[in-house]
Order: sequence, then structure tokens, then C-alpha cells
Amino acid sequence: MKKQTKQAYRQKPWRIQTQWISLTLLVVVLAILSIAMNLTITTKSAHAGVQVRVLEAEREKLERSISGNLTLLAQILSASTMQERAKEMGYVPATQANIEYIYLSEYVGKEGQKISIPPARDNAVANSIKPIYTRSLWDWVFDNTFTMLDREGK
Amino acid sequence: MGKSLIRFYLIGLVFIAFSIAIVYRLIQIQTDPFFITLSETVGNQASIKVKNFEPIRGNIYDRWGNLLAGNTEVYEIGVNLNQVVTTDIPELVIYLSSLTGIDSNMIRERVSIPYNPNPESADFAVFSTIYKNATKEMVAKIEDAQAENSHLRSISWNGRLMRTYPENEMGINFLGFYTSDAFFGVESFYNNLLSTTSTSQIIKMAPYDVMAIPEIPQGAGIVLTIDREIQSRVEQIMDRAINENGASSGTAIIMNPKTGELLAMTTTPRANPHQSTGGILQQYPIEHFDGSDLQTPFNRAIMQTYEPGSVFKVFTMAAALDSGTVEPDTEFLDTGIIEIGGMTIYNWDYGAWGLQTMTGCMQHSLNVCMVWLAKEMGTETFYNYLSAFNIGKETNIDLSGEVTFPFLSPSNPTPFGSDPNLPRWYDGMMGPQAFGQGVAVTPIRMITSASALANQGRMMAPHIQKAILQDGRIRYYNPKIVSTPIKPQTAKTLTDMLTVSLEEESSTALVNGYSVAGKTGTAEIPTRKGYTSGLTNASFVGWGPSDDPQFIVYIWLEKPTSSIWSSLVTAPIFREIVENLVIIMNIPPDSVRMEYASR
Repeated sequence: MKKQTKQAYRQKPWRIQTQWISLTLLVVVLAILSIAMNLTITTKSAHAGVQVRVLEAEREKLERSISGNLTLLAQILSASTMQERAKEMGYVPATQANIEYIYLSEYVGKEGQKISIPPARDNAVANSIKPIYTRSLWDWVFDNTFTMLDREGK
Repeated sequence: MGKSLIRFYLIGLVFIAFSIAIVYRLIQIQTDPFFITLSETVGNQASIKVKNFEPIRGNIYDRWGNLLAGNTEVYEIGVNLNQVVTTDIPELVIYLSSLTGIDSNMIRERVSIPYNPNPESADFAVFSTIYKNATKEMVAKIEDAQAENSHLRSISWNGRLMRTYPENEMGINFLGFYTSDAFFGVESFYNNLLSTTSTSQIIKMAPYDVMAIPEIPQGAGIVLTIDREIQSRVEQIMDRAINENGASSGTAIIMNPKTGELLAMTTTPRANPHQSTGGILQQYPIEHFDGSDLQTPFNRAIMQTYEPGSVFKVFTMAAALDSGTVEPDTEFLDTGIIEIGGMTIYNWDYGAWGLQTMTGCMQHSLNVCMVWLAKEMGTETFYNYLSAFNIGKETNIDLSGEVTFPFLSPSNPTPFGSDPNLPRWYDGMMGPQAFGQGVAVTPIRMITSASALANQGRMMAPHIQKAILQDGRIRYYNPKIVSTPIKPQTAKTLTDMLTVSLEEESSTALVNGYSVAGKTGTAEIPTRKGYTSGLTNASFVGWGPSDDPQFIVYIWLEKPTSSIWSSLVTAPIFREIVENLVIIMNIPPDSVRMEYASR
């Protein structure tokens, strides 16, 4: 059988060429596939990276804006402004003569405004990026090969 | 081998040789130190950027959540130097000068700085700042102008936060201020809490190069014990009083004696905090007094000591009562003169008031009676009590810049050195100290020590911080007792005496419907030649309601010119402040409280 195969290749050398061409094409196709896969992943990463940066910038801007608006609101409601507004509306400061005290058993007293508390930020968690987002394609292949070999006990 | 085949091999060899040459050159470039340096410099400039992550400075609130110090969004306007073309400069200068009001020559100088992207170079310049603290409206104008004029394309801006005080000057004396750094007051004392550390990080420009972005926690928020309404009202009252009485300055503090919480603290001058550091400090000029140049204190309530005069008598009487030396009805024959340690002491009016009870001594503010009390108690007892009231010590209030003046006593006779020309304690000094001369204290020291009289003998630690807001949690301040100089019964007895003495003299400090305890103080001002200035410091300490004190008020008018007497100057201010306080604090008149208490 082996002799017959050798004989067949001697009689038709183009079969060897076809074999080489097929092999070369296979390598080329695999290379193109790898490159395409790499490009796709890189593009997706870049897109995600750009989005992260845009969102990060947006967050910074929003934080500044919230802080600024809070102050602006406080300026509008400042003691002097409110006194001026009350005066314009015809109110005058109360005196003892204007006040009648009534006992209310369920009155809990004056309540303050709600204040937002700065949130806790756990740096250790926030700053850790999973390796899947940082390793290269080669690292991925290499790691997985070793993981697979380990699993098979080799 | 045919000729064509030889040619074919030759071409192949040429290609191989060429490839080897390219690979060789590539390796050479990769390993050559010159190219390595060049690659790092040029490559890094394009692929990395150093970014500052600035934390948001924490807000400061009053006890009801009203914002006293926050942040406003402002912009730093400048030009990207790599985009500045020579032909753009004239239009850039004209536009930026008209927008910002800055001198055109200065702008020309700034936009003409040569672009140098090397961060290690001394001439490093990529962005030239033209105007800081620009508003949103200014930025919007620039955007519109850039859409119409391509010569303005190099103008750029960066947003940031600027410290802003919504109430402007109100409370600035205890808030302090923050410009490029924190100065005075709460801003300085709690700077480490309000502002977390900023971080710089190298950011990779390649978007697919995922990297961790630092999480900078916001600065903690601080809730103060201050009541904005009380503060605002007290400032208005004090400003008017200073003006009407021709005083050089005025200070008032209101405290809850049961907890040590400051409800209001005001003094003059009060600077507009929305200026540069230099601009703010200019409003606290050098004062010339008695041959000395002194910087005007930012907050006189904690940063200026003075001789308080007769308000100090409350401590002498408290010591005498607590030590059992006298009782309220103990009689004293006032001859108008007494001698102590070779010094002769007279009453404030140089008169003799005859037979007096201890209540009468306080009512008429008799110096001679106080010196007699000190002598009766003895040196050790007298100074032990003043030490228990922490006279001469800092209160350790949570505000930056508190000062103190050494208290001259037998245990601390020469705090300034042994030079006989320097102040030192001597036998006769106990006399003037018994009525508040020869002792220098800050207003915060006075109100803190006196608060023990209004709180059953317990002196609470004065504080301005009510709570800290941080990491999603609220941490409340726990009031602390710092000293118990007298017994609860003594505190009650003295409060009753001071209530009666105000009522019997029909003082202008009395508040209709409310019983209040109080004491005036008129102190001569010492100079290098003695008490020769002719001007006085007028003070008042008072608390109420007498049966259950909710507030204690301390007032100091410096050098009033309308009258030198505290009873005429500060007592009416006390009344006006208390009339407002009881309304704001929802304290019903005594009769109403008694009626509801009996139900």
C-alpha cells in the first residue's frame, strides 16, 4: 500500500504541489483568522476604552456640576437673600408680642435639611482590573494551554 | 542548470540579503541607546499624558443643613501653544483682552510663549493660562466665537472647582477661607478631612490599553453646631451696635452651656472670602497700639486676649461660695477702699457702698468686695479655683489659631522671664485679678469657663463640629466635660444671685418674660505706662432661662466711645440678642414653660 502511494506521487508530481499549496493555504487562512480575531478584539477593546474615558470625563463633569449647582442653590437660599425676599413680600421679623405658644404633644421640633453624604469608595476593589481585560492574545493562548495540560495531569 | 534558473536564484539571494539587511538594521535601531532614548521621549509624548485627579473639597453646613462653604464650577482659560500660529496672535490678543479685561500686552506675551513639549526641560510649555475662574457664560461665548473665527481655535479651557461661600462674609471668622490653601477657622482645622490627597497618574493614550483609574474619595462634609439664623441675626445686631457705640471692634459668642456647642460666633472685621489670599488678608491691617504694631486678628473671639474686667467677678464669687467662705446673704461693709499686698484698691466709682450682701456686691460690681473675698479665701484657695476654671489655658476649641496669655499666679510667677521690667506675679496682684484686671483671656476662654456656672458646675469642651459626613456614614461629636470647678448647688446659687441682681438694678439687659442671669464688665485698657488710655473694654456675660439655661451669651465691645460703661453699652445688646434667640430657639416665656411643666 505504501509502495502504491509512493508510485502514485511519482507518476503525478502535481499531487505533491497540491499538497504543499493546500498546506500553505491552510497556514495563510489560519493566520488571517488569527489576525482578524486579534483586530476584532483590539477594536472592541479600543471602543470600550474610548467609552470608559468618555464616561469618566462625563462623571467628572457631572460631579463638578452637582457640586456647583448645590452651591448655586445655597446662594439663592442664603440668609441675606431670603431676608430680602421676605422683606419684599411684606414680612417683618416676629417679636414676642406676635407669638403665641401652643403645646403640641407630637411636635418633634425643627427638622434640618437632608444632606447628601459623600459615598465610600473602596479603592482596592475599584482599582483592580481582571486579567482578562489586560492580557494579550498570546497570553490567553499560552495560559489556556497550560491550564488544559494541568487539567490533564501532564 | 539553466541560465534562467541561475537568474532566479540570484534574485532570490538579493532579496534574502536585502531582508537580512533590514532585519539587521531593525535590530540595530532597537538596541542603539540613542534610538532607545529617542523612542522613549517621542513615543511617551504621544502615547502618555500625566493627569491630576483633584478630590472635591468637602462641604461645610450649619446645624440645619444650610450650606456655608461649597464649591462652584469655574474654568481656566488659556491657549494650546502647539496650535498658536503667528497669524492668529493679533486676533487672539484682541478677543481675549476684550473678554477677560486683561491688558493686551500681557496676553500677547502669554500666547507667544514657544511650544516645548519636553516635560524635563526648564522651558516646558504646552498650555498658557490666560484667565482663571471664568464662568460658564464666558466659556459659552468663546465657543460661539470659535465657531465663527478660525483664528481663535487655539483657545482652550479646563473645568475645576473653586471654594465658594454662599453666605459671603457671614461667619467667615469661624469658617476661615480656602484659596490655594486653607487659612484659619474650620477650613484650616479640618483641612485634612475636607480635602483628601490629590493624585497624579500617567494615563496611556491608546484606548485599548486598559488601565485602572484612581478613585479619589470626596472630602468629608462637616456639619457645624452653628445656627445660620442666629449667626445672621447676631452679626446684624453687633454691626449696628459697633456703629452706634463707636467701638473699634465687637465680638459675640453664643453657646449651649449643656453641650459646649457654639451656636454663633461673630467678630469684626469680616472679610469677603471671594478674593485672593492677599486681598482677604489686606482687610486685616496692622493695628498700631501703645507703640506696637499688631496684625488685626482674623477671629478676635479666639485670637485676641484682653483684660475682661468685672465679668471676671463671677469666678471670684463662685469660688467664694463654693469654698464656703460666704453665702449669698453674708454681709460686707463696703468702705470704698481696701489694701492688699501694698496696693490700695477702690471701687469703680471711688465710692463707699456701705453694708451689702453678696448679691449687692455683684449687683453694684464692687471691686473692694471682690478683693475682700479673695483675701478671705486665701491665696491658695483663690488660685486653685481659677485653675479649676482653666483660666490661662487654651480651650482647645476645634478652630485654628487659638491663643492664650499666661496667667500670673503663685505657681506661675515669671512666665516671661526673671527681668523685673517684665510682667510678673506679686502679692498684691490677687487684688486686681479678683475683679478681672491683671489677667488676660480670650472671649472663648471667658464663655467656656462661665458656662460651668450655667451648667450645674460642669464645664463642657467648646466645639463647632457637630458631625462629620464621610464614606457614606455620619459620625456625631460626643460632648465632653473638661472640668467641674464648682458644685451644682453653687452654680444654681450664683445664677439666682445674678438673676436677682439684674432685676433689682432694672438692668437694660432684662428680657421681658424671661429670667436671665448676667454680669457686666468694664475694664480699663493697660498701656506701657499703666491704665492710662482712658478707653475701656465693655463686656457682658449672661445666660438664660435662669432655671434651665439653654444659652449663654458673651459680648465684648472694644473701646466704645458712646460710653465707657458696659451697663450702658453691652447690656442692651445682650437684651436684643436674647429677644431674638428665644424666638429662633423656640423657648417660650417662663410663665408658659411653668404652665406646661405643671401639666
